[in-house]
Amino acid sequence: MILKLCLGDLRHEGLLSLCAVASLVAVIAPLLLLFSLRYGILSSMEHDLKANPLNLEIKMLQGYTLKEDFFKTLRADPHTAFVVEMTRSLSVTADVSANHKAKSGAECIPTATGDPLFAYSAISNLQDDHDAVISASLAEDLGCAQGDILKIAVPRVRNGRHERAVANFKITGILKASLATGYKLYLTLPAITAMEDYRDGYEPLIFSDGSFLNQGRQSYAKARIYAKDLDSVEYLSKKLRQHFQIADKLFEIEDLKALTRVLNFIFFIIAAVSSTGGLAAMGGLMLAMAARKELALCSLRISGLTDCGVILMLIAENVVLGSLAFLFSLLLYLSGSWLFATYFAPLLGEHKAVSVLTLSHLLVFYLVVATGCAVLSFLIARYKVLAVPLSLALRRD
Amino acid sequence: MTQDPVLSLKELSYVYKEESELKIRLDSLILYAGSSVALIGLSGSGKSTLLECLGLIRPGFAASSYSFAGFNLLSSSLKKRTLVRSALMGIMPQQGALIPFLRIKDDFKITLKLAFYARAKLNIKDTFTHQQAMEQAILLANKLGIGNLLERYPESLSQGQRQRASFVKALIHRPRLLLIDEPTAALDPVHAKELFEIMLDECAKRKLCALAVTHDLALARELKLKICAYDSSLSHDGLNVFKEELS
Repeated sequence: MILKLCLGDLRHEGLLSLCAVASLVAVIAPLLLLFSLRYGILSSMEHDLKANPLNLEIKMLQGYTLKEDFFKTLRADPHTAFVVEMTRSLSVTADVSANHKAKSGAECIPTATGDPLFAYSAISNLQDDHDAVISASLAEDLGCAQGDILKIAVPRVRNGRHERAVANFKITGILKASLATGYKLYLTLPAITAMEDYRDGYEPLIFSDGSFLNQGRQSYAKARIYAKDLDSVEYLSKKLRQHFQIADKLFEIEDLKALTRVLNFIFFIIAAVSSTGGLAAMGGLMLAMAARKELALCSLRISGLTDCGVILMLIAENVVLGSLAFLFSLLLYLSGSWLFATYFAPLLGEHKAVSVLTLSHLLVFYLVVATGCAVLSFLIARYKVLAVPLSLALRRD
Repeated sequence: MTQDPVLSLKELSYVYKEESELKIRLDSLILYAGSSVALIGLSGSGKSTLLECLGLIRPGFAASSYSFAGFNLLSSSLKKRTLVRSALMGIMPQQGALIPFLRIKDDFKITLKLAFYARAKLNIKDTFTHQQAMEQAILLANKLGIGNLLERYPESLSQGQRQRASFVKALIHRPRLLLIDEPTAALDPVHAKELFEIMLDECAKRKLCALAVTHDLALARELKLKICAYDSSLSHDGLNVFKEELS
């Protein structure tokens, strides 16, 4: 019965109902678009920052004497995503060849299970000390692909003689171009250590027969360190900076956080002002609509409609109006969002959008609109409509 | 008459809050089933106010006794009075009782629904169904010449047609008392008399009590209504007294 009364009245007051819907659409649609921009822009930037593992790297700038305890403690820290020992302060280099092509001075970098660069490039971890992952530019210049055999040569001078050890490595993956520039090889720590030991005069496995092994390696010069997430970068940087000279992307991360705070503040103020205006407009229209049906409501109350019934009727009417307004606003938002996407598509990379709203955002928005309408209706019904005595309402024109 | 009165009222008074010097008083009123009374007075004498007090629309009145259809209304709560009004009274205000955003037929249905609800709350056993009440209303509407207008909205009806529809609506739930405020004010004399006659005739047939506010004493006498009128001999500045004329 309440719904029949509510829909009947909305139809009868078609023009006012339209004005009420329009006033809400004028507020909701821009707010939807504004919020979608805030969410889209910031989440795009956050995603770019988070997704690229280079932003999570903490680089040691010089060599130290790092014992096993240091690595153990660092690995146990929940803020650490990945750490692997590095044998030298300057990178180990080697000569590489494949497909009758050769390149010298390729930088050899240690890796281990869980290397974030591999995960980003969708490459499996190295399973064997004879496996290697190479940079995109090295792969291009050697003309090799995953599965090809790479020859790595390590030269040395021993007792005045030039010697050279060559070992075959299988290319198990090629790193994304954005992650590594120049000629880079990612090898297991034992493989890197073996290269160094051979240069130092030892006969290690991989590059020799293993007849003369280096038993004395007690420490490492550096470490490859990656934090778990953007917040962990700050924590780890602060911790390591106390004892080491490091470089990180904290500045860019802080920049993004500051931008988030500023944008949030701006969006909040705009949203608050718009919402206040929208509430005022809607409230005014609700009051006008209630005044127009004062006599009708009086008749219904004389016939026996309870106060609760009157309140429910007004709430139902205005929630219906609010829901219609939200629907139209959604259509306008989708149009605006499509326009943004079309205009900015050439400027943005693939899979990027400048205007984004999830289903849960839309649900929250709708609930706020419906609740606002319901609360306003209740207040008007309780303190305006029901406050008028029946006898007074009957006598008004 | 040996039957119990439907409405029995003694010493009802009301003081206008806005004008605390003005008080209206009705010394007594007794209505039996099938009787009709015209409440007569000049404009501004307080007759609509009295009607509103009797119809439990205007609270704040005082009385030494007021019983209606077996209910002692003075000792009843506001909620109970509202239920009694909804279940057992039919009210035709001066501006009409039709809901502008409902078709006439839907207006009837909602009035019935509310009345049935109130009757259930008061534990009144119904001797008729919703369906029977609607059928009777349609018959009455046809008799009044508006049977073909029930699917329309009030705004498309003439003033006379709206009055007839309001009358059908006021009777639809078979009330014990019908209160009518100036039913003919907006009609020409010929149609006014015609409509008033039809209303009173229908009330008599259904053994309803009817109380009609009007300033037309001549019409009331012509229709042989019992008169309850403003008594100038008892009234003075600040007090308007209404009294039943002895038959």
